[in-house]
Amino acid sequence: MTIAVLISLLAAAPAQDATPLRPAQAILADYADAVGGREAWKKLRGVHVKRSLTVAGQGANGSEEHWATADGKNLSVSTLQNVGTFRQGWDGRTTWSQDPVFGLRKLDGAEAEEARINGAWNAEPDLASLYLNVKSVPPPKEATAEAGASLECVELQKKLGKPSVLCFDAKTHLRAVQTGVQPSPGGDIPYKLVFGDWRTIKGIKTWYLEKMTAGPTTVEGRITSLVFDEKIPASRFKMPKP
Amino acid sequence: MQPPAFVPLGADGGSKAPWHAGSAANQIRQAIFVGAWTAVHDKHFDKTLGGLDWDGLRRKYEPLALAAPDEPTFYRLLNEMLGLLGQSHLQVHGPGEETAPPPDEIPAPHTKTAAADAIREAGDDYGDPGLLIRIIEGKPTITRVRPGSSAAGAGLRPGFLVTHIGGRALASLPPSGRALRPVEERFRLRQLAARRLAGLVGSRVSLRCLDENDRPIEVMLERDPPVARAIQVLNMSPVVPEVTSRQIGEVGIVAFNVFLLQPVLAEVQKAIDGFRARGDKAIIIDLRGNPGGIGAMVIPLAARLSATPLTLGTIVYRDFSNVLATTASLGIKPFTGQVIILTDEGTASTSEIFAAGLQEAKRALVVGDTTAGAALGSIIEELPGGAVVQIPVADFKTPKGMTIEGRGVQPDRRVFETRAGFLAGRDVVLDAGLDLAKASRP
Repeated sequence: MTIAVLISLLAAAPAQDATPLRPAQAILADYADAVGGREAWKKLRGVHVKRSLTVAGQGANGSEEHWATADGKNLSVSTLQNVGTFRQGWDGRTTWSQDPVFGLRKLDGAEAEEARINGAWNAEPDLASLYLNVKSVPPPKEATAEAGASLECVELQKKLGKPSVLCFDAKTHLRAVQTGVQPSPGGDIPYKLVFGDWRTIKGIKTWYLEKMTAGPTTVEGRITSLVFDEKIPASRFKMPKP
Repeated sequence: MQPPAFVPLGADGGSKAPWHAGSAANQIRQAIFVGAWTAVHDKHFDKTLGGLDWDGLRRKYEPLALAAPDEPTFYRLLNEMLGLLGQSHLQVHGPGEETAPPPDEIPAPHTKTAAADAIREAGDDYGDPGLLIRIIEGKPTITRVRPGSSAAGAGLRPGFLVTHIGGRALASLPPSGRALRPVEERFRLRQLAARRLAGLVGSRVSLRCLDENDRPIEVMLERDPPVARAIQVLNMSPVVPEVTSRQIGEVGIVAFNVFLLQPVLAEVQKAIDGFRARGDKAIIIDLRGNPGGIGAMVIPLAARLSATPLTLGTIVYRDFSNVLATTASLGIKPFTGQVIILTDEGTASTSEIFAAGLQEAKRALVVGDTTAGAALGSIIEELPGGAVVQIPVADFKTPKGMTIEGRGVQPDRRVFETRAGFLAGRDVVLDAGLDLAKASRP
């Protein structure tokens, strides 16, 4: 066992020095092309996504719906069976969330920043614009453990809160693994996202499978329906009244 | 749940036992053993596993467990290994873990699974005869009889002593996976009695008791339908959620039997809002017999009881921590009068976290008995063959750094329950809570 650890350290150490990291902007530009390019994304006016949720091995499942429009408004509604419904959105003025644990809140600070990034309209081909700073970094060990391919990773520094690291498949340039922290009223919760099952719709490439691990729990989200440019009334995004 | 997948003796190769190496039964056992061992290794909140040689324990226990003569022995050995960690929320359950039901237990006509699987059977076809059995003054005692139940119809009353359920003596409990503290022994008997009483609706179970004059009586009780629909969340045992609220004078009393965000939380919040609107000066939250549930419920519940943000403690996971802190939720008016929490040996896990957090924050007084001391965050993962393993994935520490696991919440006012009290129809713990509430300032 000790020898195995030693070998792995010896093998890993020179690899980082031997392979220079590509600039973050180049990695993100390749990703933008891989998911269809900016022009294809610019044509979209709205999206409505439905996903199934499964808590791996723990006997729970649920569903999620997400609506977003080109003016930046968005709403996500996640329901876990016999647990509860969690809503989060931006109505054009306020970032808000409502759930059985913390009730109805206007989000601020790092929580609001995280929500802004997660809800940003069609940010995929222009990820760098969401962040204060981006830089390429070696793959973190949590990411390499998940990926079956070589990775190129970018550290994304938010305006508030800790940075996340997004790793792309060096061959396909598609998202592979993301690590970061989810701010919460109780503190930062480390998470890992693994992306898969990429499909192309209307010239847009997107992931249909997302596995999120936080602590001992993994939730698998799988898209069951994805509709672009569906008419979504503005009232959909209104913050609920207290 | 389907019946156990284990093949019967002699069915897979002449005179060979079904658990011989390489048999299907043995492979399932091995998958269960390795699955449980690995889950603890990878997910337990303490990476050091208390300094135990976990690999060495596998080498010791795996061959013993795989060669066990029957399933109860297999599970006992597996739980014995897990029990060496000396913690709650750490156990394996699976098909065939209990011995067959005794001859005087009469099954319902449509029996489909072994009674031993009742704990894991979700659905509305499981019920009980309507009585609660706890250790009082060292003896298994009926402490509550549900009005209108089979038990009530049979003339059973609080204060009767119980000697046998289904022909099996309550005094002789099957061995536990680890040495238990006295409060845990009492909690365990309470749970075991409840499991033996539970079964398919319409089936019957015998009960031997001593009445108020210590005369032996024996009754055959039918299992009643559950009072509400059973809910199963995250592989926890199915539970029929019950929330009751009432008022005595200017004191609101709310009791609930499990922490669930749905549907329990809304009902408890509604009760508290009602007490506040009515101008009650105190609320009693009755957590006796509440074994916990969804830990996150402590946050919105505490938020309903404090005008200022409260910190109840910290959940310490393997790689990070999360503070149980309330936040200001829009449109919520909290109750600001006195809060009293009632506890007993069956107050466990999330109930203890809630009680300890409010007690340390000086937002509530705790009245009753020391709680179970089983306050760890856990998940219940599925294993092959229909088995499940419960793993403690988080420790809990109060804001002052106190651990409740293995210690319990110590009441501010300890109340001793007696058989005589139950026979007289008194609830001495509630009475003590009401005394404190009446003495509180408006």
